[in-house]
Amino acid sequence: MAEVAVGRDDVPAHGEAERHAGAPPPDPTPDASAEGQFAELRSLLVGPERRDLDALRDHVHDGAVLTREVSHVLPEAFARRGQDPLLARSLAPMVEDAITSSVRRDPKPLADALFPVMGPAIRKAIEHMLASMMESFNRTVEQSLSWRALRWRWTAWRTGRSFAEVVLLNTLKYRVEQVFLIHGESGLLLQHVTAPGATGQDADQVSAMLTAIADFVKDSFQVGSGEHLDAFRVGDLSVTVEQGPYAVLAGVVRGAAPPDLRQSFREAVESIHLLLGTELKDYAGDNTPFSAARPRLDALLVTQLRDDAQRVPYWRWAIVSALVLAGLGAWAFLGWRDRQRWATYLDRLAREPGLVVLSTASTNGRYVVHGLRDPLAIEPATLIDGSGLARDRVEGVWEPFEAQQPEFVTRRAMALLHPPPGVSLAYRDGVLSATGPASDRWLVDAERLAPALTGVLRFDYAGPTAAAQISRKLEALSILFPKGHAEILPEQTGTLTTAASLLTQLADALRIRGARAQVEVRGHTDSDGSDEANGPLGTARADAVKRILSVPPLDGITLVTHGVGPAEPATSGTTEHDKVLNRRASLHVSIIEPESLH
Amino acid sequence: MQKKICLLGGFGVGKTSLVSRYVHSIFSDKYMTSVGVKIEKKSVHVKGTDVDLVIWDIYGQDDFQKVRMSYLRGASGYFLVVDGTRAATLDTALALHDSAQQVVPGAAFTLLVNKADLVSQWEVREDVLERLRTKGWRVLKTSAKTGDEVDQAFLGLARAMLET
Ligand SMILES: Nc1nc2c(ncn2[C@@H]2O[C@H](COP(=O)(O)OP(=O)(O)O)[C@@H](O)[C@H]2O)c(=O)[nH]1
Ligand SMILES: [Mg+2]
Repeated sequence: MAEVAVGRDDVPAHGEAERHAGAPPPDPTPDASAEGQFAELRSLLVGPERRDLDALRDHVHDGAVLTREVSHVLPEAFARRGQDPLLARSLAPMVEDAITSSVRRDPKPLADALFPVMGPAIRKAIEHMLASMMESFNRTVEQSLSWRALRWRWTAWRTGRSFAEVVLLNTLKYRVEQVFLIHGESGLLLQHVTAPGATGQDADQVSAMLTAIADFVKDSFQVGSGEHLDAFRVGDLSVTVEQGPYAVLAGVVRGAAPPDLRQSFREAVESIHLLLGTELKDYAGDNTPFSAARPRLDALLVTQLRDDAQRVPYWRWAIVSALVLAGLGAWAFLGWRDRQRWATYLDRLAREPGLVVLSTASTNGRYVVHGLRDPLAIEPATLIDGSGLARDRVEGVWEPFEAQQPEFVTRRAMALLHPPPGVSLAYRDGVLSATGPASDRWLVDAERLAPALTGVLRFDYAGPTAAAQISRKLEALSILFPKGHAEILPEQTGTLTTAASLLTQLADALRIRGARAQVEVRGHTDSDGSDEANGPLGTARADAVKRILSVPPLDGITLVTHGVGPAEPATSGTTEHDKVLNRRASLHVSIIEPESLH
Repeated sequence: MQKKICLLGGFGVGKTSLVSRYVHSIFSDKYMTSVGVKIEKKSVHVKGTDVDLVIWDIYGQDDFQKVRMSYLRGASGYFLVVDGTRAATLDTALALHDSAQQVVPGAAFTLLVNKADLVSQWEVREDVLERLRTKGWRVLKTSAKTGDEVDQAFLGLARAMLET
């Protein structure tokens, strides 16, 4: 430039120029001289520029020089990137490509270079994750242990919402649930992000609808140009609308949005326009470029909880958990005790004769037992009483049956046969046996009826029959005689009357059974006197007794006599008193059972 | 790729019926009367491209002046819907077309003469339609009742939008 300016200074002054114009200088060869003059003039006029141009041409063609020059300029250009977003934007893909190809060639150098950065970054991310996990854990603990939480559970149950939702609604200051990035003109949805757990209708349609509503409001209420709908509210939900030149950001907010939320939307719209201005302006339906706006939209999905969510002090936490533990313990213990009691009852049932448990069940603290019960067995419910269970918690369903245990067979026999006092019944291996002084009439009935009882094959009488007993009484009698004589003394009348009545009883007893008896009257003497005399004396004494007892004659009883002399003394002594007792007649009964008659 | 399209036409020509024939709706019709538009969505595949059509069904009145043309902004295409049994609805459609071209100049469009199932009662004359065809218009005879030509109408418009 300086050279050019100097060149200009060489131009003749005004007066000279007029002189040139008025009288042109001599020219020996008009053409050649004109050309030479023109070249000279040119070199005078543009000579310096020419040199510049040549230098520039050398610069441009010499790669080394150009590189050197550009390398001077670049750092300054990068330093100015703040003022020019274009530079950063255009460099970004190059840098990305460079990194990608470097990693592809050998990831190690990059990994090494990044190592000092990655370590802390990863640690920070993990710390952050742990912190938010603890936060949410604490919150969960707090919320599950307060009265308020119980109330919320109740609300959730009542309204059919999830507990998490109720908690959120109650602790939420506000939450940005969805953010729409909408193409301003067409209402087409460019990007959409949703907070975790939030739900929404088809975002494309919502986006168009939002635009339609905004248009509707604008058209319907004659707002000025440049003014537009920027928020509307439905119940707890509000929509914040932030207009940019080409795109609109709409956020669906639950709860009371603070004023600074609008500011963050404002900033987001601006930064998205900065980032994607051209793409927005030339939008023709292709959404791919707008995924670049996603991080900015995600950043808008804030959830702000109320800080009045007061913390539960630890002592309360401890008390509540102690109560819960105690409750659990008590519940477990009661359950265990109930099971013990139930087991006890079942055990008793199993032990109790005449009860057979077929199946048991327990549901919701109630017990049911199905089984068989002999009508003679104990009432099963009475066994509950000792077990500790309440009677109304146990239901028994019992079918009647006849138990085969000896005691039940015996008891059924008692009920059927009504044995007379003194007679007892026993049952073993199909045989029902009676012992004790049974009347023959009863024995006959028993013999006939017993086999009708379940389990009884045979009836057996082990005790003395009535006839045997009467016989024994008869055989205990002694009719005493005076010394050397066979006549009946008046004082023996009582004994004889007894004998007669016993014989009558014997005859009755025998008749019932169809049996017969032979009663032998034996005449005895004392040891005094000769055998020749004593033999006939005994016979005479027997005859005397027989004579009396055979009137009236009794059916089934045959009286016979036998003189035995002193051979069978009542007592072996030899005193006078012994001798008195030995002068006597005795009775001996032989019963002939009907079977033996056959 | 997504494209906004609109349905324009007089009252009762069958715009809503045509859309219902084509998509299954999530919004109830009540939006239509309050906000004046109902929005549906349908994905089609034309010329090797997936196109999500966002369909604005604009509530039509006999007096076309009352149709909010601002709803057309950003549309890549629109249908002009005519009721074949009422010649007057063709005039309405032509007037709407003029307004539409001011809002979205150069947007693709198709003229749908609807109620083709009632062709015996048509007032719209074939020669009129033929004249429009010679002007380069796409003209289809549709029936929302039988579904005739409905799919073709949407696919044709989608294709035309990709070409412009
Ligand atoms: N026969 C016949 N009736 C139709 C047809 N399309 C619509 N309609 C009827 O026309 C009336 C108006 O339809 P609608 O879709 O509400 O018209 P819109 O006002 O343009 O949305 C309704 O009663 C429809 O059942 C068609 O293709 N054939
Ligand atoms: Mg309609």
